[in-house]
Amino acid sequence: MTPWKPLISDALTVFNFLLASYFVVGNGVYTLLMLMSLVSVWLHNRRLAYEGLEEMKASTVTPPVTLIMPAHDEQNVIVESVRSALRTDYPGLQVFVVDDGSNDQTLERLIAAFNLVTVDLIYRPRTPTRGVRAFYQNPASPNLLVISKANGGKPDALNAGLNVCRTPYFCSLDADCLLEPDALLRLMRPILRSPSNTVASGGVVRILNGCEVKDDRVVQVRLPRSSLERFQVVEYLRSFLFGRTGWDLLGGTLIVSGAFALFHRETVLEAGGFSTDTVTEDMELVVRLHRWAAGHGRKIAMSFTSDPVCWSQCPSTLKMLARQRRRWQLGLCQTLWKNRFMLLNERYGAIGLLSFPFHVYVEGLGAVVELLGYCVIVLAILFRVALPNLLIPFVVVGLAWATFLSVGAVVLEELTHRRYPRLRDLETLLWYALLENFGYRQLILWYRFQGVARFLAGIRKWEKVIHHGAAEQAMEN
Amino acid sequence: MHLQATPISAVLLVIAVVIALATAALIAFAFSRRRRREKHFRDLDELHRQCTPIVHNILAGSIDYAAGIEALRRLCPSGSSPALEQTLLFRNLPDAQVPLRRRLCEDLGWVERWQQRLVGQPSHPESRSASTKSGNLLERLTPLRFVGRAESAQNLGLVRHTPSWRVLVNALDDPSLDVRASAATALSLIQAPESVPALVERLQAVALSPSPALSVRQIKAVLVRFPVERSLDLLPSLRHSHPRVRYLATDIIRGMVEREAAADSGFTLAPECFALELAEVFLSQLVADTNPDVRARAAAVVARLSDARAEPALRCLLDDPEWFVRLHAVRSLGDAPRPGLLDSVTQTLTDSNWRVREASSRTLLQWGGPGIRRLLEHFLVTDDAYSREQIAELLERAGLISPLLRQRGEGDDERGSGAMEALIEQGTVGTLLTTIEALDGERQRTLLERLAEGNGSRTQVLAQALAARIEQRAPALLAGLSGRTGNVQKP
Repeated sequence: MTPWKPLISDALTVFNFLLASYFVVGNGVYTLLMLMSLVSVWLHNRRLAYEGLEEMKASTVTPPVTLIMPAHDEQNVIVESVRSALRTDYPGLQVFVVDDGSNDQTLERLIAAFNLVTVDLIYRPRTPTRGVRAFYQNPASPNLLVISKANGGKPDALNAGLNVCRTPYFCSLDADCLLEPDALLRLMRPILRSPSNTVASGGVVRILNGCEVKDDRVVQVRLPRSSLERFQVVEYLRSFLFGRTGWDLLGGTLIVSGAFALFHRETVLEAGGFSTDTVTEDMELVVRLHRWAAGHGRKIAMSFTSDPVCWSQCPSTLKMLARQRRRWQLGLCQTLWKNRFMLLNERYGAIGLLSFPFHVYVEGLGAVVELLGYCVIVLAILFRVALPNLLIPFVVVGLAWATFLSVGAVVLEELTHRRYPRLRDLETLLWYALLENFGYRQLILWYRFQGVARFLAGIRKWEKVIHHGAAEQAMEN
Repeated sequence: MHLQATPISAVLLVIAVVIALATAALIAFAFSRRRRREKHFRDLDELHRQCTPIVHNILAGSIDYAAGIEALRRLCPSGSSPALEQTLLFRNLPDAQVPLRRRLCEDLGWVERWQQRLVGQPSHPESRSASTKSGNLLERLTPLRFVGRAESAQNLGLVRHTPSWRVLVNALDDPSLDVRASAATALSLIQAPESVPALVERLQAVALSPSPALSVRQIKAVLVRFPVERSLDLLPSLRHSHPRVRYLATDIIRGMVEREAAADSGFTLAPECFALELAEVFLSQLVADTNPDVRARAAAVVARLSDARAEPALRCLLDDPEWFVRLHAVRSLGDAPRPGLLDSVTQTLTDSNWRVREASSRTLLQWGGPGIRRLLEHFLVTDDAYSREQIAELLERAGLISPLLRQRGEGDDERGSGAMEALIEQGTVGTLLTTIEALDGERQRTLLERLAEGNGSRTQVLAQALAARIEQRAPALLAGLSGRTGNVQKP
């Protein structure tokens, strides 16, 4: 036996514990969240029977909302997304599209589709943004406003919309999203019902790929055809149905998907608007709102509900998926690092003591720990170094547990929302939930690892994910 | 660091097997649940399909009521099928059919069941919600029974069962927030006058207590739905010593008034619908309240009062030291024009706060002819760049550029022509360019000739540039001229 082998063996044993703790903490917390969410979402669904959406819609007390849609090079999807947004069933709705210096025909298509003309509106920036070039409106439909500005990124575009917005609440909506007609009313419901000051309300983002779209509405929910997209359906179910619901129940909401989220305008402005120094402005804003509230002695609440649905396109190629996941991981690392003093800080309650440490260890560092685990196994086999006896069993148990969670997410969907009506869809989803942790998980892990590497290298580049229109998607399918 | 590998490996193996079994159990459960649900919904749909035409025919009066009830009882022997419940509770029922539906629900025993469930008495086993395991679970487990109570409260409201108001008022003190909220909504649908004092009592509690039973917005939403005649019940709250109570009461009456005004643009608060005592409180106390929020919310009510003292009161509010009081005052006059206040509203065009200037321009625009004339006059004579900018924005947003341009082309209105020229001089040319380009050749030429006669240098340049563009000679010149060159900002 060579002299360095015992040293490596000891290092592997230590690493073994690290990996085991990662699997136990990650899967353990997720199991807890799943069980809590199961009760909560099931009960929430029963409560929908007396939700009073009609009364809310008719009430003069329901506050008006502005939908802000930042768009950069979204010529394929923008017109149908705006049409869908305009059809949202909400009293006093305004729709602002912020063209963030597109290089394609995004602006021209909007002008042509909605007969827009230039209007010289006054721009009073409360948060600084890149230069606003022009405003476009159709006097016949004044609830749509298009803002054209120099390219400054999604947060900059959101800030431009925020500067023009006059309603007490605004909803950020990605340009590739289709809203369900009552999604905004459902998103507003927890705010109206809450006796506390709810400043952010998040809903569920579901995958549009494969669904049948007619008149800018999802009319038939179907699974996408490609395996890559189907894995993402399972992943989204896990993330939204029990990840976010569970953290919401614990009062530890750290992420509200900016693809579809409602915010209190004045609170966001007071907290400084969307920050341009991270690539996930939604998570950064939510964390900053918690920080701001604690710093200013304000009591705020955030809510997540699983019935307001926004349909969004997921990447359909490995290249786009890699870009998306690298960006998410990079943004997560940036946000956690920027707010690192919140870690284990009791001043921030459940956020500082539970949610933040979990996101650092499992979501942030987990990408490195797990990937290293796989590498160690492969290298040890290659170099014939004795592996600790427990390394492989731990990995096997970890993966089995993760599979249980993926299947649990599909079952949770089946018990509650049942948006996939065909039995075949349920079978397919369960099949993909079983397979997700053997290949797809490792692929995502690799992209996440790249995101961490970019963070460590100080790269801040926003990687653009190109979307196809629903009509194009339908043709492809 | 040394581990006893064998026992731990065995434990891990056992864990892996347990997890695998649990996963298999979950999958089996999902399939079995799917099969049960499909069967349940098939049965429900079938019953629904049979019940719906009978219920519709009863409500439309196309079949005999007794025969209809009999047919429903034959379909659902207990008279309490969830399919029948859903059929009876459909929304958007014509007002004329509401009493008949209420009677149907009473005769089929639904009202009694809902009332019993709301007060916490066990319902008949056959009437349990959805008659599924989940429905039974909700009734069996005490902590989950609130769902049934909340549903019952909502149903009583949906069928507008007025005699149930007392049960619903009692439900406002239910331990569950859901039941309290549902009961409050139901009361707003039933609109029993007797329930208003109970709701006002809750409003005061919410305003004063740090741990409210219902959210302020929920109680407001409920009270605002009542007719404005019921605002008299809020009189004690308007006179309350606590400013927050006064504010909420004033805001609710404002909501009632605005709701009525939205349905009838000529709506005024005459003594027959708005008691003199109330008018007195608004005119003598609330417009001078120490709490500016109260003054602000009182403006909308005072603007609709048919009382000679309303105009002086509004004039004071338009001159209030707090900008948001002026804002509310000027906004409230938009739908309720008062020619006597034309000068006062015009003065707010130069207000120090841009929100007031914006609201002021909008109000004058809403007033139509005299308001627009005053707006254009002010636009032509004022030296206040902020005010001009605000008016220009509004003219564009309201689509008034095209009519002004037409007036300029036809030369039939001095004021409109001047305004057009002034707009060009300050650089508000975005909509103008689009509009001119959309005109036919002859009208374009006439218009450009008239524009070229203008005094302003930018107007002349614009006219020349447009003429050149029409002849395809100088697109670049025009591009250089357009844009938001005259944008000024005032905090």
